[in-house]
Amino acid sequence: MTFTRRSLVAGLAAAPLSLPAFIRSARADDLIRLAVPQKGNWDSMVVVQGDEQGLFKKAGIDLDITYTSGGSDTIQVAATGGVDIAMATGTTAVIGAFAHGAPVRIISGQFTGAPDLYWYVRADSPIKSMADMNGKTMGFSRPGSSTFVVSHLLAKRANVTANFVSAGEQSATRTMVMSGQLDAGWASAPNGFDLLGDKKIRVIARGSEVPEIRNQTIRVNFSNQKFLADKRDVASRFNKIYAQTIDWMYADTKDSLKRYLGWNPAISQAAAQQALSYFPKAALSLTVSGFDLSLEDALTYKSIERPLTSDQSKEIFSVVYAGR
Amino acid sequence: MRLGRTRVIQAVTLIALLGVYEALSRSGRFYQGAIPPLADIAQAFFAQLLQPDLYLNLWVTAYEVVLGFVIAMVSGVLLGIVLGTTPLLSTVVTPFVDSLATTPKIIFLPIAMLLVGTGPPSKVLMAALSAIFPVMIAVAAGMRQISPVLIRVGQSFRCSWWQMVTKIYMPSLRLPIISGARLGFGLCIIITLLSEIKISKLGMGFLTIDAYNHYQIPQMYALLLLIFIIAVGMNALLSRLTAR
Amino acid sequence: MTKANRRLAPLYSIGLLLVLGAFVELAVRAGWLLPNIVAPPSLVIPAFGDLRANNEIVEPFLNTFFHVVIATAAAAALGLPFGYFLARSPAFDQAYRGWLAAAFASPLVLLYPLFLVFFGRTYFTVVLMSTMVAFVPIAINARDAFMNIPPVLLNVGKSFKVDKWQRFAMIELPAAVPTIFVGLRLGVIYALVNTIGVEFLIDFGGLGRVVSDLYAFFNIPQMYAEILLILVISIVLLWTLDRVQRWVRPQ
Repeated sequence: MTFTRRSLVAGLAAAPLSLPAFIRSARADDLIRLAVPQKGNWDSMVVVQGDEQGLFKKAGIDLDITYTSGGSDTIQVAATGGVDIAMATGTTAVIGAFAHGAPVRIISGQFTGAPDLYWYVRADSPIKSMADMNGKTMGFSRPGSSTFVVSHLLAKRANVTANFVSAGEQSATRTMVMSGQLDAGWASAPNGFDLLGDKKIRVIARGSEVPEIRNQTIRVNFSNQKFLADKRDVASRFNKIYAQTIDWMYADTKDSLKRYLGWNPAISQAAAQQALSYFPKAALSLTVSGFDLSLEDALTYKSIERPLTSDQSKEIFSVVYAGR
Repeated sequence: MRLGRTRVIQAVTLIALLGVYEALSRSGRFYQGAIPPLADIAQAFFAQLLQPDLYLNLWVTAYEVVLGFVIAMVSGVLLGIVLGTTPLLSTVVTPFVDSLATTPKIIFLPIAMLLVGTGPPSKVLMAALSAIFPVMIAVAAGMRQISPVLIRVGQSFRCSWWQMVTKIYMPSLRLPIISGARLGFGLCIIITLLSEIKISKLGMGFLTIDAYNHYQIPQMYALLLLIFIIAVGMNALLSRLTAR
Repeated sequence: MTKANRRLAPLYSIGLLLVLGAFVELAVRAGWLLPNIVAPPSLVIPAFGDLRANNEIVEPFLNTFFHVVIATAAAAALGLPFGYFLARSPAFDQAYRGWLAAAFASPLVLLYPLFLVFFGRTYFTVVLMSTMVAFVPIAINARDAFMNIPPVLLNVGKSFKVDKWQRFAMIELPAAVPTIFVGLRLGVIYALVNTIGVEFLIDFGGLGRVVSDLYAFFNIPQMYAEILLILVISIVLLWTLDRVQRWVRPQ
């Protein structure tokens, strides 16, 4: 038996250990490690816009951004201290995590209302609007999500009893709708705009049609307790630049749209412009609205077993910047 | 000759499989967006190869997989031998080992990140954690099948533990180690990709899920094809290294 | 190992479990371990009660258990004959061996959009994907088992002039049993991990779906309770395989 295997092991172990160092850049500024779910969304990518535009750098903040595939991973990585600040996570999910002892605190609202959501059917479907959805299958992502809440509210408004199906994320939903396994699927702009442009699907309902949710902040940005204790001023500056970035993104949309198109190669310039109408600036406000509604939802959809005490309801916030 | 026959079988099988896929894609019976024609996939494949950032992502994943695999092999073999030489310990610990083996390791990702950060080292740790089990289990099972005669020979020569390992155990464990290695390697690749899908900013898993989220299905299949081809290559390399 | 030791071994295992449990409890209370990551027994045990109240124990458990058994059985029904076929046809073995290993190393799980298109978001998709994944280790080990029958045994058969069926039933199969069962054990493990994984990914099915929901709500004690149920499935299935192996080939 030879042990040339051993020399191979030694060689392999030694060589690539330099890689992590090579990935991390030298930093003289304050470093914030961020988690961003849903790479490419208009609203969740505000930090990337600000980072690439140099707005954070000017304030002496260096961002290290990691992408996650969804709320639960984002919460886990922020709660365990793997990142300092996490973006765009469902309010009810953060409430649930907090209630179960995760050392997380909300630092700002991220998205209020659900103007980005829409439901669509195949172009050849006999369904023309929500009124035709009686007994038809209507998709949402998962129980307790905003798509769940909005789909039920839309059906209630139209006075129909739809068959609600947990279809999972947007790509799986699209496959189900286009294969005829689901009548109406959900999407968040501009996902699906390529199909709209090709006239392969039709919009039958939009999240903006539901007044109940219009003033409810359904996604928040949050941080972990340790980061806020050690670097509260950095977090405060972060929020300030975040607000500035939003102002910049909407002031002159040429550059921000260009970057956005780069992240979403499947859609056209016109579609990207149209997507903007699904993201009114007011929706990105840092203020957290309708928190009582979110607390109710958290109880209804079982992310918490009992209501938060009034102390807890205050403790969950660490609003480091009052915003606008 | 012999090799010729092999190639013929492979070619025929491949053509048949591709033919079935293409027929299904073009039949119109299924949503073509989710099963694009082979031409679209081929086009996306070559377009990918021209992207410079593909190679950085490839390097990151390869590094994570290989380093994790090596760690798993070394520790898995040693632990398997230890389990094999102490029957009581083996019977006591085996239920735990078997149980941990069936736990979806992906839930340990937050712990891995807590220990070594959110970058490539966490994926290395996950890969090692995943692959150590098939290696350890295969080696422990192999230890049970070593001829007692050989063991007695070693004992009569008063071999040290290390001599027993290198001269008696390892030669007999060649097959279990190889089969454990093959399976462990596959697990390394899968868990690395899944970890990159969940939390990452680099790697083939990250590229793949990004394509899927933007519904760029030809690109996604092209990336999976690339991953598959590389897995074949690395497996061939592994076979060559373990063939004696 | 002495017979006394063998009978005591399960006690040692349980003892080890209790020690580990106590250690985790102390570590969490002392602050060495975050309860967010590892739930202490004092939280996990009551969590079972909460889960039972929500009907999240029996139904998901049986659901996953049933589907794993079906997937493994199907994988064995396909993999064992295929492994034998490869062992007996050098040309096909040479052709497919590398592919098998590569297919196993590929994240077949990521092909689930393809499965969704053909078979829909159904249990059939989950079971089919798990069967695919379990097939490979079973086939690989069956092939190795039949490939590596000690020639001396075959020569003995030849000298007794046994026919093909006798050779298979009395020499090849018994000699192959240990390695075949290594493959079956791995098949069970992979079927279980893959079933849980797919359930986790597409938010559909039994224990994997529940774990996914609990993970999403950060309900760590309940999550660990459900994970323990997953472990119960694996313990039961592997113990059953062990018993079957002992019955097939008493050692």
